[in-house]
Amino acid sequence: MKPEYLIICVEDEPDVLDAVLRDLQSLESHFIIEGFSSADSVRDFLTASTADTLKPALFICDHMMPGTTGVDFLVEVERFGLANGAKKMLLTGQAGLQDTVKAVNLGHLDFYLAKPWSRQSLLDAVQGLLIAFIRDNDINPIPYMTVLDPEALSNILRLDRRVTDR
Amino acid sequence: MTSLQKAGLILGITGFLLPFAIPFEGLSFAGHLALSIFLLAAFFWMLEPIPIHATSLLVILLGVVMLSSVGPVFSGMDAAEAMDRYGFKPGNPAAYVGTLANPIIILFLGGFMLADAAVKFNFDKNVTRVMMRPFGTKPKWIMLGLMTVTGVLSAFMSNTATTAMMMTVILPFMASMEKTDRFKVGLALSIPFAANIGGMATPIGSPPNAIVVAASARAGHMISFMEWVSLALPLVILAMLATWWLLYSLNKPDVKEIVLKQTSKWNTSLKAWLFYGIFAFTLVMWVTESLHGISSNYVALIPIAALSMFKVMEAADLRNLPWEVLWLVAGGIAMGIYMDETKLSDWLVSRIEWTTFSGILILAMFALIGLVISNFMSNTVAATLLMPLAITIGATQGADSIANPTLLALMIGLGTSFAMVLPISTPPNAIAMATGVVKTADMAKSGILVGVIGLILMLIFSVLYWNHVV
Amino acid sequence: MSHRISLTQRTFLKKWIADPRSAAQALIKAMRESGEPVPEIRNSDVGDVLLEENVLNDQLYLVITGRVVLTKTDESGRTLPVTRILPGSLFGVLSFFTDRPTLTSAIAELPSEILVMTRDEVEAFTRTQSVIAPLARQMITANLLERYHQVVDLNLKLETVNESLKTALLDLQAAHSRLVHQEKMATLGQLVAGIAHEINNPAAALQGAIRNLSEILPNLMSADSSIRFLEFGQQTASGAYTATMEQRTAIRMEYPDLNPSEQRLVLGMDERVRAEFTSLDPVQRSRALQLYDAGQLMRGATSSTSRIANLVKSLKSYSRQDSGEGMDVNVMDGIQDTLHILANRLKRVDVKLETDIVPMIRANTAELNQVWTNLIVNACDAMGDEGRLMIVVSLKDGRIVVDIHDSGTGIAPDHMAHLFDAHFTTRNSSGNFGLGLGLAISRDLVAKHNGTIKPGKSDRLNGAKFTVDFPAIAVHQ
Repeated sequence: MKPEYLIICVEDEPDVLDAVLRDLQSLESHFIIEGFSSADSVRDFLTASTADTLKPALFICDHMMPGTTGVDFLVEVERFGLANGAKKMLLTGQAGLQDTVKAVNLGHLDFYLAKPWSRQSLLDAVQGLLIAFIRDNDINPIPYMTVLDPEALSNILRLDRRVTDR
Repeated sequence: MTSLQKAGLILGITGFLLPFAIPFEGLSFAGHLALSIFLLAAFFWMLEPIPIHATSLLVILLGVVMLSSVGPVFSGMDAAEAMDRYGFKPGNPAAYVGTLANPIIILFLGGFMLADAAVKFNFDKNVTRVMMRPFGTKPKWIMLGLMTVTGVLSAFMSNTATTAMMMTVILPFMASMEKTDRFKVGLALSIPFAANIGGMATPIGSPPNAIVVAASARAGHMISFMEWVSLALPLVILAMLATWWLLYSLNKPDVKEIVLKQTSKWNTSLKAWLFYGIFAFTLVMWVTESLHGISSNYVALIPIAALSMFKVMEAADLRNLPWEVLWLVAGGIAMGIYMDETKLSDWLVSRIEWTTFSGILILAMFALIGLVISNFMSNTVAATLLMPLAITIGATQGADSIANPTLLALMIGLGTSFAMVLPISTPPNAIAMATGVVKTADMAKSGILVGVIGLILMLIFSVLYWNHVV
Repeated sequence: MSHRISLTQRTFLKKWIADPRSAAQALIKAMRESGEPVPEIRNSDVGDVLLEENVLNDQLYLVITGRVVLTKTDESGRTLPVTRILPGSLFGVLSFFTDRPTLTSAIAELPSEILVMTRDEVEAFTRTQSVIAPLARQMITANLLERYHQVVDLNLKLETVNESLKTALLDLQAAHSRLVHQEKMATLGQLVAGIAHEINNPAAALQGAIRNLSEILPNLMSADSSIRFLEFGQQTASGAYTATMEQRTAIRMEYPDLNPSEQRLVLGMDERVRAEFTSLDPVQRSRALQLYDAGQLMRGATSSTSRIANLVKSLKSYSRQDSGEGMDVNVMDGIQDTLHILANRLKRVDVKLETDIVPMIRANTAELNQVWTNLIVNACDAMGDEGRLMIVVSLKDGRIVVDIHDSGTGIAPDHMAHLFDAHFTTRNSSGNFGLGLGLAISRDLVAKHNGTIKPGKSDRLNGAKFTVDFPAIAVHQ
């Protein structure tokens, strides 16, 4: 299938970003995964013309970055409607309680994963968030059954009837 | 937009313009207009440049604009004048728009309400749990049990929703099975196949059934709920057993025992009890139509009214109903009306001298065409496109022939439901495919065999059974 | 006669206050003249106990000559002098008139003459119509007045002593906190040095292993031209994450057969490597990409280990424990180590360093680094970890001057006076709270190096400026 949803990873350390993307490789058949080294470049990307055809499904964001912090970035994404229903995850070792509370309250943060992470915990979290994204945004779950939990997706189909007999 | 969709758009528009450019001999002016709509709709429905329910609404709109007495073509012209000039009495727009509230649509709406309420109260899961009990733990019987439950549920619920629900039942177990166990493939195919077959058991089981009932009604025979069940159920049972035997033989299990974990509980809230009561009452009223004489279509108003009245189904639930399915069917019915009223179907049929064909050949041909083409397109669309022609031919054959309109309609409707060769054939197939367990080749092989079995069974049924009761 | 008159007048009180000794003698003289029986006059030697503490007392004592000391025994049994009674003054007054046990003992401090009056005698003097009665009453009043004066004086003294004790206590506490802090820093330094050593070894081993691996790997594989990509992978950092969207799309168009992670690898290649990659056939490409990927991974491992090594180096020199005398150090080195250690805090701060070539100073590295840390962390706090920081090192009049500018909120005028008070802080308790010792300690540490530290307003960044200066030492030739 041709992926139409994006997973956007923002992390200023290329080695760490690389590790995140390697862990998520199994999802690359169904999602476009883009890594960015700064919040600015994501901003440019989201407001560029490519944003018309590709919609973000998930933001995975480091907190401590040059320029904007991850939390401020997520708040901004939420406030300016760039998220469009996308899920948001903070992947960090350094956000304090106040920052995290801000991210949850103002940025509608969906998940907090502390560094260092294990591949399984990251994948589990990302899977859960993508399933929630599909559930909340009226997306046909059938194509995603091979990469995301098919049982959860089947139940979405059963409850939401977004695919009907024809 | 894929290239196929682009082709559909171009072909649809070209088809729409064609009758304006080329006059067809023997076809009336109104027939040309109807042909425009038909070609546009056919390409749009088959290749889907726009969603199929949107095409249906477009069909209704174009009918009102081009063929009705209020459209720019015939407005300001009284019936006699139109008759005089074009040999066509302009259509009643209310009748075209009224397809959206056709009695069969109301029957479906009643079915949707019951099905959605069933999901809301986990009725489907509880029925599955209870019905699976007698089937034990042997893989062979488990498969039959799963198919039986799927069939029963999909007779009342949408095939897709039933498949999705049954997948949540079997997926946890399938994950624990050995990778090499063929039985996984059998299980994954048994659910969508059983859902497709089970959808034939009642008129509300599957949307093409609505096209059949509506077409037959226009041809003069209203098929009641119970009549449909008495005609189709024996076929469904035999087809189900055959499919079970086929899938089991092709995919013998390595596992010795299957234990399905199901934890759902009966919902005992007041609303749930109201639902159980309304469901039981509606079902009894449908089955006993011959005793009280109230059409099953209007009985369907009971669950619609009662479920909303008692707020068992609330506004949000109503919003969540699959309205697009109803629109799809309504457009199909409207297309049939245009082709009938403008004599387009007569003209199309008159190209061939049908009386030289034997009735059984005509039946076989339409069932086969329906079966083949609906593998590549929506079952409802396949039935819609074939139905007007079949009804017209049936009319020329006469009510006493084996190829009478009702039987022809039934053959087409059930034939489309036997289409399960490809993942794109039906949404249940797509779900089974998406689990990643089944390969396209597995599905195609079993699907073709089931199709052939279904075709043969239908022909045997028409000769030995249906021919004598319809 | 005139003498008598003067004695009977109220002026006796004033006279007594002005000169108690002669007033008392005048009184005794009057007693004798009055014809009444004169009370016993006792002669006491040094150390004679005239009156015990905590006993009932039936006599009133008047010191005529010599000196008597009143003492009190405290809870721990020590005898402390309370007050001294000089000629003309009474003692035993309170116990005599109130019938309660004596508060103090009375001991002769010099050889003394004491007039001892029994209760009968006192009553006789005060009862008779003689002139003695008012005089006696006046003298008792005068004695009480004198005692009251003493109490007021004592309270006053006590308050003064209390005040100075309080100040002394605060100073002690601050000194204690500083000592604890210093001790902590010293311990931390030792810990860090130890851990740094422990980390350095495996990091070095890792670095060596990767180096060897990259030498061995090519030999293990069948040699074809694509083996070069292992080396290419190690040479350049991936530019994939800084690539523009146009570049990303272009790669996708150009290599549609590659999967997204492979496309990302190609996107990360530099021009030269990509050109070489494009010239390969599809089979070689896939192998080349795998090798390139392996090379990138090794590069990542290498750069991560060298980062660890650098960090450890900074940690070590940051917390270096010098001998008491200190050593010749370059101010810049310490500042740079501090910036390295605080890199995470400074991620969103634009740091600029301006420096002249300056001579060394004699200093204790760790102590100096504490000063830099403190000033930089304060600056970060003042600008909410986001803004600009400028550190200017220059040589002026034989002193090395370090100006630390920030783009924060500046120093409020009412805070200016308290900046260096121990426990002064502008951080509220909800945030990350410090000890409030920072600037006080910094000033001490700077002073220890014969330097000064001055707050001010930054003329370059509109925030605060702290200026630290030290005397430069002669450069060792």
